[in-house]
Order: sequence, then structure tokens, then C-alpha cells
Amino acid sequence: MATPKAKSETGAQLLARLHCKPSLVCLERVLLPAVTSQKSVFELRGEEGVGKTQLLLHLVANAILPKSSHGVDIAGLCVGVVYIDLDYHFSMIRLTSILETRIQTALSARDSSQDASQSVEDIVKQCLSRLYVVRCSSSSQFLITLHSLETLLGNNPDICLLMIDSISAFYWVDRSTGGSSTQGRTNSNKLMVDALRKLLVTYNLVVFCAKAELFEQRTYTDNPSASGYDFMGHHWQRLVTHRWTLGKIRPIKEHVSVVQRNCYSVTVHSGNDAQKTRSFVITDEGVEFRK
Amino acid sequence: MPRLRIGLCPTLTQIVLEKLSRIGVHDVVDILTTDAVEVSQKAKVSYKDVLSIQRVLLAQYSAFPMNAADFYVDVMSSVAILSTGSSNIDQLLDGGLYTAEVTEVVGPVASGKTQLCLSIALSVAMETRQTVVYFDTGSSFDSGRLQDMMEARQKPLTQTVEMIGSLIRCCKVYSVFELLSGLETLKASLDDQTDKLCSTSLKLVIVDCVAAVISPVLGGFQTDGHAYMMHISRVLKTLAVEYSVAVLITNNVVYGDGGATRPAMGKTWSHVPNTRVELLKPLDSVGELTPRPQSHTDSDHQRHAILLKSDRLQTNVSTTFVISDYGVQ
Repeated sequence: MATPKAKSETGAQLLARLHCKPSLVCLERVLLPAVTSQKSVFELRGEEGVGKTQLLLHLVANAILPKSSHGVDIAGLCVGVVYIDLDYHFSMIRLTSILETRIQTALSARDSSQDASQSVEDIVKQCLSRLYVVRCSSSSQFLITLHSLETLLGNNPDICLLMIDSISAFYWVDRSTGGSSTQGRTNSNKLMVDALRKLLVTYNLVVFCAKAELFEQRTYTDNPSASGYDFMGHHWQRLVTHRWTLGKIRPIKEHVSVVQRNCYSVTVHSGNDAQKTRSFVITDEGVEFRK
Repeated sequence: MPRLRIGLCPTLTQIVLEKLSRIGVHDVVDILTTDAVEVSQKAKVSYKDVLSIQRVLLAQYSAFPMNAADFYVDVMSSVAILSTGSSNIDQLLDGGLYTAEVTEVVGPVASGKTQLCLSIALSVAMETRQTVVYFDTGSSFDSGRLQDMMEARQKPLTQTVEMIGSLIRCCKVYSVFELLSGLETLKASLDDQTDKLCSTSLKLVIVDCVAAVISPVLGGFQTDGHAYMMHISRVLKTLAVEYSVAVLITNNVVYGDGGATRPAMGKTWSHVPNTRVELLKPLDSVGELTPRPQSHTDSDHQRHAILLKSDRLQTNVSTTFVISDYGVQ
């Protein structure tokens, strides 16, 4: 059935919807070597202080940096990003310092002209204009905001990434207010998942979500199938297409530099039991993967 | 979730409202998450009206997406870094406490959490003449100690004790509800703008210690405690972000498996602060019991501070500081 919604959309919206989105190849060379297919939902889960927000900011930087500037290759994607900050963890200072360092490194390889600092600042501003930050203070506001994002996405066809930090932010409040029963909770979750799915299907988005680990990891020895339990509910579980688990690695050597001392790992789960783990460190340039 | 009522938007009249409530559309979320065609067919309200109600409500209740270029200008003009009074800790935190961030100090008994809070409060009041609001949950706020520090810091006395004292407001709270109402009152007076002292120059909110009021409501199989806890965390974060205030909270530690310490209040809370600093007494870190020296030596007042979590900085960096007459150094 043709929905009247489609009939009443504006030309700009139609173009935004049908427009061939910029390719997301090389969004992240190590973790996503192939083309990131549209409509994927990535879930980044982990304890506190394992670099979930840092990895998101790294992806944001990769996306909004230009492909090249002043004839120098910067290796960005030059696409738009919407960052929904539910945990209030988005750090503008950190993001700008990542962008500045990346641009400076790229430019200094070529020449050392005097107005370098000026041009770096200009490029940073151009990058930032491709990013939209939304902060929500309650789960109903988050839900309504998801519905209202259509306008923004319709007007900005170059947006192809949506970041949510973090999806579990309102879990406890929701659990005690709206959904005292499991049913009520599932319903409010379903509304959120439906709104998100509608956005990513209509506008061909790729979604990255941080999910804080709110419960102790239990090992289900007697019932392995229960280990797939997700406290966000089965609607959410079905929406997620890729799972990354982040963790901390204890340093082996005592005397290493400050940067090397903090080593993190990310495990990419794909398919049934296949998984690969990469370790990374957090530097001024974002996230750096180790061999 | 806000309920639908007359006055929310011009097309939402008494008749429309009744028609909508007959089909089970009672609040803002109901009408926004249901398809406009479905609503208009079921409730027999004109499609155009439903669309216009949806449009108005969307604009009213959604969060506004802000372009990061404008956001950057905002942040750069509003961010302030508050010195803690100790050069080592300032260095650890890249300058001090940042506004719009929640910083948590964790540590066992007598690791210097309250001393650090008092000292930072005094530094902010004395050096920047900004207001500090101090929520005290364990009656650990010691105005005598504050006065001693003040006198030790300035010779000759240039600023009167009363003047500095008026900049530091202490608010004693003994339950999670008192803390919540205290924070809400503070927010209201910030919005109000009539309270000059608060609205113009509030830069720092301290909660010492947040676990003292939250821990009693946690536990068991009920979830209300967690909801109160997250509610407090939301209010603290909103204060920090929307009013550009630095929030400093202290937390206890609990001993887990194998005697390892971790911050109290569990996993959910551990995700809340932007920055976490752990304080340790050197004795604890070495783990051996040495006889307490008779005279107070410098090492007796020495503490370690370790940066455990940060949005901006390399973690697991440590430094030392000393608790003295002056505060923390």
C-alpha cells in the first residue's frame, strides 16, 4: 500500500531518500576493511573506561574529515554525521583535538607555510559543520527526537552515519517508571527500535551505538543458549547486525610509555562463533590499532 | 510522558481531544508514534489536523540537533577550567576541573576526599570569586577547617572570612530525596535569574559524598533505588552541561574479589562520571602495616591520586599530593 506520507514528501526529501549515499568504504581500515553496507547497526559494548566513546569519536573524525585539502590526502570520507549524546559524554574538546592533530600531521608532511595554523582551523570548522549533536534528557524525548530527525536527514542528504552514546542510558529509569512489567518495558523499547529502523531504512543510514555493560557478566555453563540474553530486550537484539565487544588489556611489561600502558581490545563478532580481536591504543589522533 | 491537553497547539480542541482519547491516544508519545493516516481514520479527525498536531508537538518536545560548528563556538566561549589548588592534581587533570563535566573522586576512608573538596571549594572562591554550592551528606563539611585553610593561604588577610564564606554555600542533605530536591531547587534558582549570586557566578557544585545517600536505597530485587540513582546522575549531568558548571562528587570504594577495590554503587554508576580520580593512602598501596610514627611527618599526609577514567586524557597516570594547613598541595 502506498502511504500518503510518500505522496506528501517534498522534492528535497525524495532526493535525500533516493540519492546515492556517499560510499562508506574505508570508514575504518582495520575493523571494517570491506565496504560498510548501509542499514547496518553496530553495537559497541563494554565496561566503563574501555574506550567506547573514544572509538565513536574516532569514527566521527574519520567520517567528517575531508578527503583531501590543499592537495594533501587527509583520508577522510567527507560525509555528515548525527551524534545523539544520551550519556552527556560527548567531548567537543577531545574531538577538535583529534581533528587538529590529524590535519596537522597530514599538512606538515607537505610544506611548512606560515598560515598553516589558520588553514587548520578553517578545515576543522568545515569538518564540524558536517556534524550534528543532539542531547536528550529522557527516553520519551529521545523517542520523539528520533521521529523529528527526519527533517534534518531530509534536508542534509550527505548524512549517512548515526551515533548513539549510549543506548542503555535510560534503562533503569524506564524500568522503574514506564515498565514495571516486562511487557511495558518491551513496548517502550519496541517504539524506540521501530523509530530507529524506520530512519535507517528510509535514509540508508549506518548506526553505531555504545552500550554500557550494566550487569555483571554471568557465565552460563548449564545453559549456553542463555548467554545470548540482552538486557535491552529482543527487539533491540534483532535490530543489531554487528557486535563489537571492548575490553581492557593488562600491560605485560612494566616500563612502557603512558600511551602504551593503556591498551584496549575490540572483538568483532561475526557469524556464528567466528570472531577476531584487535588491540588498540588511544592517541592524540584518535584510535590507533596495533599489529 | 506529557499528556495531550488543550492549549498545546491550536488544532487540539476539546472535541479533537475527546476523539483521540477514545481510540487510546492519550499522550504526546502516543500520537507521535502512530501513523497519521491511522489516527485520522480511527478517530475521525481530519488528516490535516493530525499532521499539524504532530508537527507542532515534534518541534516542541524533540531535542534540537545542533550543528557542531556552532556548538564548538559555544563550548569555547563557555568552558572554564577551575584550578584545584594543587599543581600536581591540576597537571593530572590537564589544568583542573572542567565545566560541563562530572568529575568523581573515589577513595577509601581517610584518603583525603573531603579535604580535596574543601580545598577546591576554597580555591575557586578565593581566586575566581565564583560561587560554590556544597552538598554535604555526611556532616563532613568543617567550616573551622575551611577558616584555618583560608588564614594559612593569605598573609596578610586581604579577603575577609565573611566574604569568602558567603561564596561557599553549604547545604546539608541526609537522604536521596533531600539531595534531589536540593539539586532541583538549585536548578530553579539558576533559571530564575533573581538569585544574583547563583545565576551569574555559579561555577562549581560539590556533592560529598554521593554514595552515603544512594547506597541505602540500592539493593534487593527492587529497581526504584537504581532509578533514583540514575535520576540524580541525570540532574547532575544536566546541571553541568546546561548551566556550564563543574560538578565534583565523591564516592566510597567497596572491596570486591581478592581485596581489589572498586567504586561503590555498582556498574551502572561507574558509567556516569566523565572523569574519575582515585585517591590512595601510601600505606594502602604498599599493603604492609608499618608502625605509625609518633611525630607527624610529611609522608603521613601524603596521598596518591590516580586518573582512572577520562574523556580527554590518558588514564592510569598517577601523582602525589600532601594534605597540609594550606589545604591540598
